[in-house]
Amino acid sequence: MAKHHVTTTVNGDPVEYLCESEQTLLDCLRDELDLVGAKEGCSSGDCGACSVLLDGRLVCSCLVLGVEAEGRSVETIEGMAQGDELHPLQRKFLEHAALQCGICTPGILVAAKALLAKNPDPTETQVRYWLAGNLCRCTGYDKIVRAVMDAAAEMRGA
Amino acid sequence: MRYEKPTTVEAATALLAGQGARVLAGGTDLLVQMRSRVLSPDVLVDIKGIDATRKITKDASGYTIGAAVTGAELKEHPTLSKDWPGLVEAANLIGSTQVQGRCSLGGNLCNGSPAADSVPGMIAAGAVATIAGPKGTRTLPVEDIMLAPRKLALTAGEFIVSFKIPARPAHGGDAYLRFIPRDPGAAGARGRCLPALHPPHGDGHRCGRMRRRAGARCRRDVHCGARGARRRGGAAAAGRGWSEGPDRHQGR
Repeated sequence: MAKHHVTTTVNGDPVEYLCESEQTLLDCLRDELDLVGAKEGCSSGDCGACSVLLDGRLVCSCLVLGVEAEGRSVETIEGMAQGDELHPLQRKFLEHAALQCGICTPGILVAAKALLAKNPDPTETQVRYWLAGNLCRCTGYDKIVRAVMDAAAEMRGA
Repeated sequence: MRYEKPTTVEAATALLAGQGARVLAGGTDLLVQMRSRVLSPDVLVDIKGIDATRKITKDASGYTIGAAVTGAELKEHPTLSKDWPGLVEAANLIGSTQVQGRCSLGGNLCNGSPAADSVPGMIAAGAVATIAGPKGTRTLPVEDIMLAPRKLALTAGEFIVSFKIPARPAHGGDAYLRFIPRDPGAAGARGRCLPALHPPHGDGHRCGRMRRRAGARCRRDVHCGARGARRRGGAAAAGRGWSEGPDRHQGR
């Protein structure tokens, strides 16, 4: 079976890659485009380490086929900082020490960014429910939630 | 494995009539099963290229919801959550925020799991599926689609294009309750039920008609409302006052 030639947009840049039907979007990002920020955790949509935005919608890239990205827009953790300037969420994660091993962090940052785009002033409960699909085995979540709340406040100019 | 994304119902049914073909909607169950080698399809037919599977339309008779509309899109619809909150709440219990971005009513039903969250909600709402196949289109109530776990009343080449959800009856309402040890985002619940009630109206506080569904209790969703109701308590609740507590029948 011939490979699929996929033309898509990743972090605002037009890109092309070749992929097999079976390859997931996560495989394509990591193996074809060398964007290794999204991590493979469970490969079953439970851990959220592979979270990306597909046309602005938060998804697990392990549960999307690479060929499905044709003509779509993909946003990954690599597009979050502007050059050397970290996104407020990234800065707050550092300030609050909201990560230890860091495997889950790219997915959580992408998920949190999607939340704040939809709801700039979430309650703690809303943050916890939104991030329930992102598992972290190190932090116990409290610091993550505090960092997201703090970043939201800063981004609102509060 | 081949991947195909037809843009017409006819092209999709032709592809699905072939050997080893599977429908891809949101893929949140299918891709997991492919990775664990439970399923090894020869052809994946992505139905999301067909317009009718991806949109919600509303008219006087109710809603037509495409089989591949995502849980997140159901929640964002301007009126669906007001008319059928139980159905939307049920669909929004399928997985995490990430899964909500992909999962669909069609996929949740056709995955054929007795623990599907949205299925009792659809049945209680009286949802009817529009099924396309090589011989044309037919309709079938959602409750008649899953025959047993992983066994559907769909024949070769058939797939669900959309669901018709009737307009909410006057004074009607619905809700979805899930009993589960962990929440949220944890699949594999213990049991659920969804009462679609006609709450207080007319004389006093009487229940006009009631459909109640319990999912994940046996091999397929059990009737405890409307049709099979008398024996199981659903209809017994109809016509009663609220204070008499129809809920004591819950779980029968």
